[in-house]
Amino acid sequence: MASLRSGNFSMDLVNIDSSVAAAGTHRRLDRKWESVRGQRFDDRVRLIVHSMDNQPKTPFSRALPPASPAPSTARRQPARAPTWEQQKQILLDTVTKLANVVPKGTNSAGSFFEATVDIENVAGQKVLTTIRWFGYKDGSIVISTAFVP
Amino acid sequence: MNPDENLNNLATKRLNGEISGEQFRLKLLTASDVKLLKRIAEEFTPHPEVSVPVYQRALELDSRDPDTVVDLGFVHWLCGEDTEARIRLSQAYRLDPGHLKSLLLDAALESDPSRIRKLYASVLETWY
Repeated sequence: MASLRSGNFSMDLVNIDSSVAAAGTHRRLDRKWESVRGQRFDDRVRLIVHSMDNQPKTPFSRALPPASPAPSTARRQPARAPTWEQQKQILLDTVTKLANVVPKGTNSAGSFFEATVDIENVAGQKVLTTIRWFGYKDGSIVISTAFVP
Repeated sequence: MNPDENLNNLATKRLNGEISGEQFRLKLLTASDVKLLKRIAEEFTPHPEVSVPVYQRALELDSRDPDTVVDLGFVHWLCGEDTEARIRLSQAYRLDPGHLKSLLLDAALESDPSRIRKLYASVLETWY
């Protein structure tokens, strides 16, 4: 299964490790992920997704139901968990398609944004998701949080 | 190297994981220019491992600035840490009950549409 794991954090969108889900907490992503942080995915957009410690919110990565088991007679492959790259792309595509989002606040470097939207994952499941991001004045953005409201 | 470059380089090292959070905080103890600290914190706003300790250092030097308190609150809000954001909001309101940025953070944290409308009405009154 394609997934990235960091400590007790599962990056697997579809098949969540039940022990992780039961723990009820997520950890911030580790150095391996932080090394990805500075990466620019295109000229205008950067993406960071945090998972918070002890947050009451349900992070986006935990929000999706397990994949339905394939009928025994159909011999279909079970839904594949989206890779971390796919997850990033889902959030990235969602935010970049949003228009006329009014900032919640500003500072000298840019503005704070929030939007709540239905996101469809690669398995075709829709999840109402709140995304918060920071938009720099040069047009680049950093997505900081995605969770189920 | 001037203090601006020093602090910027330090923040970048922290962002890239070249120094630990503890090392970063220790080095920040030598920084004493509040304006510079705030500017660096704002530039690194969505990177809480950098912006939060820099804002905290700025507040150690000047704890009476509601702008800094609210800016730190917005970093927490951005990261989904609404409880911490509300703590900062309360601090900012204590410093300045009608503070414009505090009203905006309050509205960002609020889920009740009628209260949000009231808050934005207050923002407009404060603004004009």
